[in-house]
Amino acid sequence: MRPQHWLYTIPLRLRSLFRRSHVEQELSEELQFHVEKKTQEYVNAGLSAVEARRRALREFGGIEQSKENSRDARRVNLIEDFLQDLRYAGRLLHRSPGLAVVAVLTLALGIGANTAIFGMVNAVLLGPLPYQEPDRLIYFYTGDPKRGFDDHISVADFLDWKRQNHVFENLAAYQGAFFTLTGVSEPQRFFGTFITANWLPTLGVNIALGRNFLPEEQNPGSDAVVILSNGFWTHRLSADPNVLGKKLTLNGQPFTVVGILPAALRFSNPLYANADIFAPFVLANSSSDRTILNRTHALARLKPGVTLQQAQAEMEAIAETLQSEHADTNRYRGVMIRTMAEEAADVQPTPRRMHQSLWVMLGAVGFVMLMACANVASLLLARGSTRQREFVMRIAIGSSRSRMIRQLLTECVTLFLCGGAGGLAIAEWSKVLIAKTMNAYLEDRTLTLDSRVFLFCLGVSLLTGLLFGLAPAIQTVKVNLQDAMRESGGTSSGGWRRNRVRSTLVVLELSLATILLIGFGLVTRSFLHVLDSSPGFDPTNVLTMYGNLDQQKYGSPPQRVAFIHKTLDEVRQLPGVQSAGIADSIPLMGADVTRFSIEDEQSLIPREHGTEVRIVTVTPGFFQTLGIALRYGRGFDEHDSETAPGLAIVNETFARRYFPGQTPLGKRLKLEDSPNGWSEIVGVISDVRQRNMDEDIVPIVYRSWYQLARSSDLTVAVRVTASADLKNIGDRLRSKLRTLDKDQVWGPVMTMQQVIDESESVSMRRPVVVLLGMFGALALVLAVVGIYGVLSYSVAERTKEIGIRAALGAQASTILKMVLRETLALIGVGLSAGILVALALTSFLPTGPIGWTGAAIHLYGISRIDAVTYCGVSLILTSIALLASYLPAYRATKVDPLIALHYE
Amino acid sequence: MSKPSDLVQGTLDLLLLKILALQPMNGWAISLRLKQISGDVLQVSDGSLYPALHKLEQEGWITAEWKPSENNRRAKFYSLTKLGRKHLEREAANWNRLSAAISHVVRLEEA
Repeated sequence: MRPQHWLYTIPLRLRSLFRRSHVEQELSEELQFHVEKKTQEYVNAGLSAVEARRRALREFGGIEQSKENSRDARRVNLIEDFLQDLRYAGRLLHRSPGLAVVAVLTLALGIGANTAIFGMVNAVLLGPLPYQEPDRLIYFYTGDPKRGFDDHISVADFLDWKRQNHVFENLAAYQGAFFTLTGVSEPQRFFGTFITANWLPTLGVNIALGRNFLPEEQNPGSDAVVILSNGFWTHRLSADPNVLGKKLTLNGQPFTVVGILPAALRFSNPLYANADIFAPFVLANSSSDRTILNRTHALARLKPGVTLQQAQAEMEAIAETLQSEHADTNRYRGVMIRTMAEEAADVQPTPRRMHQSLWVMLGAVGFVMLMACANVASLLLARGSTRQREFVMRIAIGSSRSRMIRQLLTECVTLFLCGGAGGLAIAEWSKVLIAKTMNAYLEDRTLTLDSRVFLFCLGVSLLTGLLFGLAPAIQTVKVNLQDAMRESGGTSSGGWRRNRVRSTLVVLELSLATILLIGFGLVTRSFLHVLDSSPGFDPTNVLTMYGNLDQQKYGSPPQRVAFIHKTLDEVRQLPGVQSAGIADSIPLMGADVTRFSIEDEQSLIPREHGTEVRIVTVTPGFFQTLGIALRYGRGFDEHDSETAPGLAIVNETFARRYFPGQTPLGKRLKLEDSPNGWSEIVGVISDVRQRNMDEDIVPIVYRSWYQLARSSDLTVAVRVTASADLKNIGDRLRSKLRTLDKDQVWGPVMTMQQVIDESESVSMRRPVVVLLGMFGALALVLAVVGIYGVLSYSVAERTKEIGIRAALGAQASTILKMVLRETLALIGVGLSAGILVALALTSFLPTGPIGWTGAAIHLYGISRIDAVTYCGVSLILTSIALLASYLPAYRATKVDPLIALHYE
Repeated sequence: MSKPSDLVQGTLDLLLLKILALQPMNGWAISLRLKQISGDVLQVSDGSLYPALHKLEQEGWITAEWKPSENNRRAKFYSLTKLGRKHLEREAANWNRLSAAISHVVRLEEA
């Protein structure tokens, strides 16, 4: 319709709606006028006043009818009816509070669970990039097109790009960094980023408190300023409002705080999402550095109207110029650009697996919702039958069926919306619990019920309300008037049909419950297998403490070795300590990677390229402390110093893979990260889980700290006597290490069991198990309610039949069997359908090798067709179903034939 | 129900618009006029006249105003709006086209 049309009609409709009595009165008056005129005409023609009026009315053809049709013409009936229905629905729910409470509660649980999980998906997966116009944000890669690109750039190139390009508004550089905070009671290391002054403006991020860096703060000497993340400010500085201008000691230098970032800001993938401290990037220090070794990244914002292709072409042209100008460094260096959105979407394996499991959980909770809906639909159907008389009456006096369907739908949607409101409350209330359970997934994101979550909740409530309300509504008004009038009670054929629909709903519920429980069973059994799998070390009575060496104080290997010697000496003297050792990375914490080749020419390994291998550096005593078995050869000892020939110990997987059928002892390796010589294999240790309990174990090479003190990361591991108090020793360990160097950064004391519990796979799998467990429990409750409802109804419907059977001498056991047979039929169909669907669905579960990365829903230690799970679920569901049908069945056996036959 | 069964749907609307195009009128006058111009061919009961008028009003084609009638009694007078005039022109043209086509067909059959 045209807008000008609405100018007329909208006020008219509003008037009809809101000035209803006025409009009604006008209508009466108008018709009255007509009738009076007509009467007058007949009177003038000589009829008596009474006769004239009668003829006039007759000729008019029903004043009320005409009024109703006029109202229809005004098209406000729909809205008026709706309001009326709403009031009626309210009254009805008020009158049967039991039904209302059960239905609303069921729906609130279903919708609440869905909303909560959707809230999580929303926070983790759907959150928009927190930058202005991310499509115009560009991320840079350099490299040789033949060998591949990576996202490191050289500072000198960056400065040339900045000078020569015409396509970017802004071009900013940044570099990851660690900052050690000292001068506080608890020194701590933080991840940070060096950024150019235009970095935040390029992203379009505004400072919450204070200011951005000034361009001159990028000059050497004036760069001792920092901007802090909101998290750092809140947690480390208690959100001190006077923080600006204060000084922090970072990496031994004083820095002045000039700004705080906004709370909601969370940098995405390539921008160091967990950086807490931002300092100016002093480009001048490396302005002639054409290597990409210092791991600098660049990002830019396209000028308005410039396309990605144009920018790419421009960058290629610039790269070509640089290739000829700086042939020694840039000969093979091309440039590639992508939008930030693309880069951010390119998620790492671990988040990708988390996302997978989030979708699985959203699917599972959708099943719960379907079950809740099925239950409510079933309730509505049951009530529909008790209200049938009302509808028959109304149809008989001329109400239209569509009008009644509308009314039933209004009632149903009202129920669902109430459920939705309850669900929203449940979601809000369970936010904290979910955030805690799902910590590994949410990291530091906050769960908020934003407008999108709210719309989701509303949409789910409305849609399911309409969908599941329509069938019962149609079913209810689909009565044959004559039949219904004749059967003034008792069993009607409609009742049987209705119960068939309800049985179908129960079967649907049972199969959904089956699928959910099988899913829960599979992930739980996998999780238990993960926890049960041998880590390759003995986690009991082992304490660990992570530390990071100050780069200035312990810059050289001898300084580090000295520190480590001193640390171990002190720790070993603590009472209750059996043994102690240090590694740069302990089991389940991952390991660095390097390339290696084997001396033997005949070997399988091509020498030129080298093969990737994980490397771990340990002190003597480390293997013993963790209870890692030496298979053959020897471990490291105190005499293996820097000057002695290089030594290596390998794990069994390494020995098996690279020296199949022969001893690796005495073989020599060249490792890319220690170019100064060969490392001779002197021992083989048992395989250890180095990153995940469910990983596919990878080859690892171990080397001695005393020969190669390169890493600044270290973890002290301590084995204490079995009788010792872990907490007490932990405290003493901590204070002892503190006395060695008060500025040294140490993490919390953790038992090895805690390390296992916090390892990637365990922390990714646990929330899935917990949530699916909750959904499974919910599903069981819903299934019980469903079965109970349908059987109670069925028994009530068949009271007469049961009464006759009893009168004819049927035993209680026969009647019991009759009812239970019905249950078994339901459960049989439901279970088989559920199992079939589960078989189909679980084939989508990721199989394949788990690899080195943590997994959330990968099956582990069981097959997809895990007999224990399938049998267990069948058993549990069948017994629950029988339990649920016990009460109705018992009631059936207690039917008194006399009463039953008088039932009508 | 409200539609006169022997009227082509939409014809009543057209007639009412046409009648009102000449001058604003109240319902009673319209009913007289209807009978007068169409004779007994188009039987429109008074009861179905008002819903039709209200529908036209809702569409914005006619507008209503309470004015004193001849013997000073208040009556609701309907008049054509600009929108209604356009609609009438369009519908009249349609009608002419349609009726011409139909009579053409009817003649064909007779021949």
